[in-house]
Amino acid sequence: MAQNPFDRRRINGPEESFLPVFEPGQERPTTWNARCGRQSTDIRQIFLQPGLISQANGSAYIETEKTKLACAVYGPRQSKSTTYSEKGKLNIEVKFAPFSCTRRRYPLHDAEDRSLAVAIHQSIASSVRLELFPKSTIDVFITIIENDGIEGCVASGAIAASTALADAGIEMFGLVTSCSAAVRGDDIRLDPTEEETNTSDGVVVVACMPALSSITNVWQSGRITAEVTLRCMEMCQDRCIDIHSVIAHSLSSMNKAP
Amino acid sequence: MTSLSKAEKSYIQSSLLSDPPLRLDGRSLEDYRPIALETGVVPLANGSAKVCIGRPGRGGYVQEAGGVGGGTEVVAGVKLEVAGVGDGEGGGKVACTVSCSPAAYPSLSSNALDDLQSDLTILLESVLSHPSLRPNNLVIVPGKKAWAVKLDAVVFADGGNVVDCLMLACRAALWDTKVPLTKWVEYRAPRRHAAQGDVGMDVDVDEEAGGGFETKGESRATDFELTDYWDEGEVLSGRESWPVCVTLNVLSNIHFLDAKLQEEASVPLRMYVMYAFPRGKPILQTFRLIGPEVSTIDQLRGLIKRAESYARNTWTGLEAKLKDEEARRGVKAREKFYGRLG
Amino acid sequence: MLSFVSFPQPTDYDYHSTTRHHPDVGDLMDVDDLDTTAPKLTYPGETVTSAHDSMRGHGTYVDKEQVIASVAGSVERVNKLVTVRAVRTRYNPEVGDLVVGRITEVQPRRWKVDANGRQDAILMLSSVNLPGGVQACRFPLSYRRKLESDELQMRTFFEEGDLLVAEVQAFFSDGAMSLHTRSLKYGKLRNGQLVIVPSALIRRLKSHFISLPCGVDLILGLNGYIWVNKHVQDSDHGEEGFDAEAVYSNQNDDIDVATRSAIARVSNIIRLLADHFVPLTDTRLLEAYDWVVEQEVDTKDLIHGDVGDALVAMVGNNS
Repeated sequence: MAQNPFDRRRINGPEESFLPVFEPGQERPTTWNARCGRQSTDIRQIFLQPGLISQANGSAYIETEKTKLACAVYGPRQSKSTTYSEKGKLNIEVKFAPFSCTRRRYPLHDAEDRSLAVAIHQSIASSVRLELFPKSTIDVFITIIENDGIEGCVASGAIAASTALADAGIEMFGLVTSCSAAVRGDDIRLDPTEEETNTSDGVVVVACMPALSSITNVWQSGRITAEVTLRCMEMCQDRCIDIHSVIAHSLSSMNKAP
Repeated sequence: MTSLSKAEKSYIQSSLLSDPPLRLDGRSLEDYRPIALETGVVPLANGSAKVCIGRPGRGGYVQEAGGVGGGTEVVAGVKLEVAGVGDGEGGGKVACTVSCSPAAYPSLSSNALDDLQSDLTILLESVLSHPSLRPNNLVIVPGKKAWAVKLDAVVFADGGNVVDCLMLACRAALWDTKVPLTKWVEYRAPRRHAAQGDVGMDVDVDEEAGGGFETKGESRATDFELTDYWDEGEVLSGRESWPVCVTLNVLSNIHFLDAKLQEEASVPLRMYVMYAFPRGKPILQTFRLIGPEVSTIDQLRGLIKRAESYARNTWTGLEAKLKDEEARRGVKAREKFYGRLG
Repeated sequence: MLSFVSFPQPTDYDYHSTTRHHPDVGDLMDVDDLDTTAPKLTYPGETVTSAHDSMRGHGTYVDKEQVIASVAGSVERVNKLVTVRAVRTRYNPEVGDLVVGRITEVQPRRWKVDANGRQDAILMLSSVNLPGGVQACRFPLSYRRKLESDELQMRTFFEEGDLLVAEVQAFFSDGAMSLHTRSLKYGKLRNGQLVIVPSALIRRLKSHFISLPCGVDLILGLNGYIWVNKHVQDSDHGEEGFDAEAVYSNQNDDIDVATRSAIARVSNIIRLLADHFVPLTDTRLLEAYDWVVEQEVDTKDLIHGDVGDALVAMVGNNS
């Protein structure tokens, strides 16, 4: 028999499984459900704690209601590859826990991991002073424990990674904060939940360094006009200033504690 | 990817920043290399296109740094497959895959090539598989079967600006795609006149019948057969809303289009801006920032506006070319038909 | 509006339907009888001649007392020696060749250089001019001490990606070429851009350093790498005034716009001629450049087909 790609030690479910659908053929609702407890420009509360993973050089845990992820930084350390590089390399790996989504994620390789890693890399790469670390690699490992929308994960992942890098004492130009927005018609909602992004026309994720008022990443997909996209970017950038103070506070309060 | 010495890089950058700006091959900042396009190049696919930016039709004797031919060449093909429809899904998904021929990237290791492929696949997938672009004439049997659109693009040569080239090829292939006409087959016909009415309907009409049909169709139409028709089928609906891509290469306060590999290697920031102009109205379909350089909101605002006019240029040109191609192939098909008769 | 062109259609529509024969089958195909001056073309596996009255050279092998070609190309005879020269092949280095290469790796006491050969070329630390004005070869006693301190800073001379012009000095036993840059003419390349063409197009010339009157210098590497740069003044000072700062600098000089556009024009002409597989010589390049200036062809139009065909026709007629 050909080599079996399945891990026999696990209990493998059927290849495909679907959630039971209680209302078949449900039409897409024409309006978004009203948000409970927050305005459309409000973001969810952030819990951010650096330094929870003791064996890492730096780490951070972030929780925004149903999005929970942990980030660990190792390095800068000698690159494994033999080719010389004048600049340091920032290596980001993202892993979804199998239980992080409504449908179980297959524990082995997943294409979405890489797309997330690429987006987070773009968000934070320009903030790190890689020119100071020739021949070295900085490894950033992000584990998503609970997922409430990919865009939320990209934004939270960038915040956690930047915090963890600061926690590891790696030289940076500034802290990176990130915020997402979903658009439906003329309605813009910041920090959307998975349900909101699934029923939206399009989404925008913005990462920026508020201290330098520069933008490091814009990740837009879907059907939005350029004007609305720009408005989203401005709103996200404003909100990022608030998130910046959350990171600054969490870093300083951790360092104060004995 | 492309190896460039510091002196070469600074030569390219200082040329671009000089007044007037100069490029390696004398183009102005907004010039594209010649683009060749042909649709219907793959006989076994439902729709296909070949696009070559730079040196069309030449063997590409001249190599550029990095050991690849001068131009960028992409072939995209669309295959339609019958797929079951899950509960609650509309049916008719678009799945994209990009494969990069190792011949296009001889210096990359197979791991790096895999990464590149998956990055391009993810980018294309996020643009073309977005629910807002899903064609609505892919349903074969409502609630049971639908055509799944499999779009595969192969990069045969990369001489820079591969994303624009990919998007052109994919858009042309999707434009060229013909959905075969089907009719349903019923195994049980309780009333004769009702059955006849249903069998006669083609896919387009099903969709328009929409919700009203739901209860009726679920119980009756169980399978389908292809109609024997002189034409290949009908085009994908909403084919005018697939976007085109403009890659802006940004170097401090200037930007330029259609970069070659060496130029790509010497700019710190790139932007993929994808616009669609359904009924002339500009829609931003995707925007990505690539590269280790920061931007500001004012810069982005200006560039997004400029990109819109570039994209419109590309769009109108492509639209005209696709119509030409359709006409050309119509003539060719007729000649072949008559040739066979005679 | 962006304009799209079509792919050129094959002119010969009957290509697929005509029957093609093996050259031996057609009785009119005997090339030797028709035109003895034209080089005879052959393909791998074709019997060239009998092994009794000829000697086997490069590109051939002997089987059953027959000399058989092993590459596709032209047959050349020198007395009894029969060789087949391939039409397109990797660069075959010979001692004394001038090559342009790119550093791929820095190793202990040596650099690896990509020079379009079958193996990476090697540039030993001892075969470059080192800063300090004192030449190691002239003072053998200072040789070793110098290398040890320099070994630690090899990347200040050449680092990965750097381009250089060098001469093939010798071959290692495994066939890799050893380069040297022991002349003021050789060394790191600046102030221009690289164009890569098939190595077969570069013939051995009297000088591979060409100065065009438009203020552009060319270095035609025999390996097919061509460096197009701003004209540099011949330095008056000899070996004694060797300036390490300038030789190993990564900084470009100030280049005016006219020179830059001339560099772009020359590069495009080279690309175009190479695209049509026209061998490159100094006279031909000069002619082509003059023609382009005379016809007032815009540099960017050279990448479009029509102008190119006209240029190639002109160059072909004159030579």
